Amino acid sequence: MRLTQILASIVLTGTLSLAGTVAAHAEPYCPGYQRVYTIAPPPLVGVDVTADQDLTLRPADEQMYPCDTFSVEGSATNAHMTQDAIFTLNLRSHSDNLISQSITGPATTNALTIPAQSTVTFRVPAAGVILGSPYLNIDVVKVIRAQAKLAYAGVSYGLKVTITSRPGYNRGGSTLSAALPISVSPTTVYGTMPAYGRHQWFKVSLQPKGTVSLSGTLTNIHPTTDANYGTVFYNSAGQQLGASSSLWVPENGQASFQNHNYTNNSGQSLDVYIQARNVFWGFIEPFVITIQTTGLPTPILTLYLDADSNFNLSNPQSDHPNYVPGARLSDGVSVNLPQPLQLIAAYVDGAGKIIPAPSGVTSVTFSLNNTSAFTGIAMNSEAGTETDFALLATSVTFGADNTARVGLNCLDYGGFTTATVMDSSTTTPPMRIPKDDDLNQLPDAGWATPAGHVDSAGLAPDADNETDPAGNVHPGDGLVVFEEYRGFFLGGQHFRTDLASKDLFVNSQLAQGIGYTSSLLISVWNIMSTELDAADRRINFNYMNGQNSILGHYDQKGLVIVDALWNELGQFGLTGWQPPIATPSSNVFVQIYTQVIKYYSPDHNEMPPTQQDDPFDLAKIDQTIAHEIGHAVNLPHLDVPDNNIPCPPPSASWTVMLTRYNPLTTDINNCAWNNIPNVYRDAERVEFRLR
Amino acid sequence: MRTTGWIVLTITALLGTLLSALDYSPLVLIVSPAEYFGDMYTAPPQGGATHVFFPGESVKLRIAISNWSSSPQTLLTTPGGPPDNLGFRVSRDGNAVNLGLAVDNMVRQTGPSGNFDVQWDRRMDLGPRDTLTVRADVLDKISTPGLYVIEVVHQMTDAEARLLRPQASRFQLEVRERSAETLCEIARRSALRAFLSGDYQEARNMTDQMLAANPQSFLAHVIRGDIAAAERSLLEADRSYELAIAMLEQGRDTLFLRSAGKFHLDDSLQALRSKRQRLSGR
Repeated sequence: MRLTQILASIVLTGTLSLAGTVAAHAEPYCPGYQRVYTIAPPPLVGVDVTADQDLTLRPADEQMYPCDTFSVEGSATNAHMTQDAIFTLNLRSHSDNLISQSITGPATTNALTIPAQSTVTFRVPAAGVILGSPYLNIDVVKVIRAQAKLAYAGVSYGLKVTITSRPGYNRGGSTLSAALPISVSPTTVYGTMPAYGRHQWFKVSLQPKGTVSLSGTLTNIHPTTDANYGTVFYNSAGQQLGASSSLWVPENGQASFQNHNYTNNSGQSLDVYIQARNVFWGFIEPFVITIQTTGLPTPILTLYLDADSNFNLSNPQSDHPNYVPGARLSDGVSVNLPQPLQLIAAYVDGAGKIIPAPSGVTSVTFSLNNTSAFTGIAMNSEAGTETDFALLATSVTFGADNTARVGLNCLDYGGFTTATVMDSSTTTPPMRIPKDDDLNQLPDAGWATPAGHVDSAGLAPDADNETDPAGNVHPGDGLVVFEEYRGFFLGGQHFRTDLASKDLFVNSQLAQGIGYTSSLLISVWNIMSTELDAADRRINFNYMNGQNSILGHYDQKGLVIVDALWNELGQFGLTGWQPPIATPSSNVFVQIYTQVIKYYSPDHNEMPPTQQDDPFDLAKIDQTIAHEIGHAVNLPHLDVPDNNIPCPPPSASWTVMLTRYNPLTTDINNCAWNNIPNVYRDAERVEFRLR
Repeated sequence: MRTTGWIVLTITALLGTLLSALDYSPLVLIVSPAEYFGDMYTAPPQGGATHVFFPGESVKLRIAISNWSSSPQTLLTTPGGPPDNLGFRVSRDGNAVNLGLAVDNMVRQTGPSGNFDVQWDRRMDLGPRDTLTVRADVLDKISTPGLYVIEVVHQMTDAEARLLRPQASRFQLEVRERSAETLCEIARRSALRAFLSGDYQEARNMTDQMLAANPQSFLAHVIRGDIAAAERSLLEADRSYELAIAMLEQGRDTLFLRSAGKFHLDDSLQALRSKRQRLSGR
């Protein structure tokens, strides 16, 4: 126990020292490299059975090394129907040297009692971890021994092994394919090389004529046997490119080496895999090896957009290809503005890894160009004319993570800008936000709508050519593609609209909403009165970008449906528009006369009207709303000659556009009042027009 | 609310996944007139207003709270009755003005759950498409022309503490200056107001004023026909309707024709002929 405490103290000191060293070499701090794996041995069956798991036979990466920590946990099940079994588990440096047998669970003297047909969990050591000594194999677990007594029907058990390296140590890969990339020169690595044990692999990318050079100090802690160190260079196919002379490290002694070199004479860039290895019985602990290179790719100043606050330093990616202004990156749903974003500048190596800024570079300067300044924040919201993206700072210093970051606010759902970052000599390529490689003013990522995703490829921003529903002869809905993308506030929420369906905007000021208009087979949005232009009911009144209009803009209006209550002509509704064509933009008013409807509907129609609520009032108001909206989009009456409408009407006449149909009556069983049409006919859907 | 084809997508159904600015309740607030007669003899309202009034004309409002979702909703009110829960902000041409409004304590529920008077409460349940209606009358006669906005202010929410959706919480009216052109419309409204209240003599007097202002007013004869029909003088009613139809067919009522497009004219003629047919069928 005393020895373990002393060793822990030594390791802790080493860790602190190491952290400082790692930071100096700008190698990411390694917070304890952890390996976890499971073992499923065969059951123990018999009166007194023992089974060893020899870890030295496992892959190199699953073995414990000096100064690693080790623990194992698992569960054991006694299959016997009536009798208990006894289970023990202990850890050994080799078959005879016990390290730990303390075990959790229902145990006495480190043995678990497993009741019949029961499962118990366990852990060794019972608390904490085994800390491997740096001295040879003392306290380094090599064997896990399981024993069972009275296991007549068998004790089955599973093990989960957890090994954690010293922070920063043994980071080299255990195979060529797992080689640790080295992108900073010089870099110093640390670790252990047991006798004929785990090799350590590193990888550098060399430009033509580039050279990698290793030097280091090796300590052999074996008291009686030398170690033999060598550096071997391979290509990615595992073919040897070169090797250094081997180096003997005396027992209980040290040796240094330098100029273990390889030069890339291939004439092209080359990934070189470096194997550092001990091929004798000594025990190198620790090794301290410095890897220097020339001909590493030139660091490239790179700009990233982070739209979801999860920029990954180890795998840096820009969000701008998938970014849509004011939209949540994950699903495109609109978020509040201003939308906080971040521009991130970093130097990267040829592998795209972030590396420290070159010597002398401490800060960079961000800038925005060609930034839009649309009026408002969406087609029908707000009125500000400020630019649609704003940087929170321009000159930014690199932080400890080797990035320079600046806040970027998005202030418009259709805004765009071009961002760059520059150091004293170079400027990054312009980043168009959102990405628009095909220059159609629409995000290459498309946009999300309640009806699904819109793909922007090949779209013209000024097009307005929806053809729905099938057979309709008046394409377009009065909104160009860019306006549908920029979107609208509808019911207090921001939505973008799709291009597969015409969009009609209605502000119903009746409790019945839009009634049966839902059968028009287009997208009908029932919006709030404050979402239309207060003076002229335009839905896309924010169409200016500075001094320029949105290309192809057309003043489209919403319909406002109001209750006008009573008229002396007995009309249920009235719609007015500026000739010659009834469309939302030419519409002047849509009035519903609800008191007339209530007067006509059975069974109360006294004069003067009592305004009693009758059973058909709601259905008739629903039909009248759809009827008048129909007029506002160019639909005529279905007027049957001589007012000779059979009841119920045949399917050819079953339309909300039917007129002179519902009589003034007190007859609650009147056929017309019991059969109020609630749809438009196909022929009418062909004729309606929105522009 | 958005509808696509036969599928009704309510914005409220999408709210669970949205982060946008305002998360409104599916309970909507709508202010509309409690008394109105269309705009037969005058131009449609201007400047974004939805209704036209004339100086001195009474303005009576209905405040409706309607459940536009497909599930029951609960209205949470503040202590007191409707007058304590409903306030108003009034402006004329963009400037705040003082205007007294009296809110009725009586509350009416209509809709699929039935039509009945209800007691105002701190929690009020509304089924799908059910509506609560409260009356509020402007106490002062509005004398100054202009564009008025009467906005309802309140702190009512649904059970999830979401504000009522202000679907039409601002009643926008144009108070139009009296002129020779508007006299007939003003008299017409007075006639209809009297007729609907059962004061047929006053209504008849007002039709006289309509004809004094516009001798070719076919609507004056329509109203006279309605009065006669209400008084069971069917022959007189038929004569009045016949005369009105002839005046309309001959295009004599130029005041009406000025404000009515061709469709409006045809529609009116058709409506009037139907009205006469119904009378003869009685």
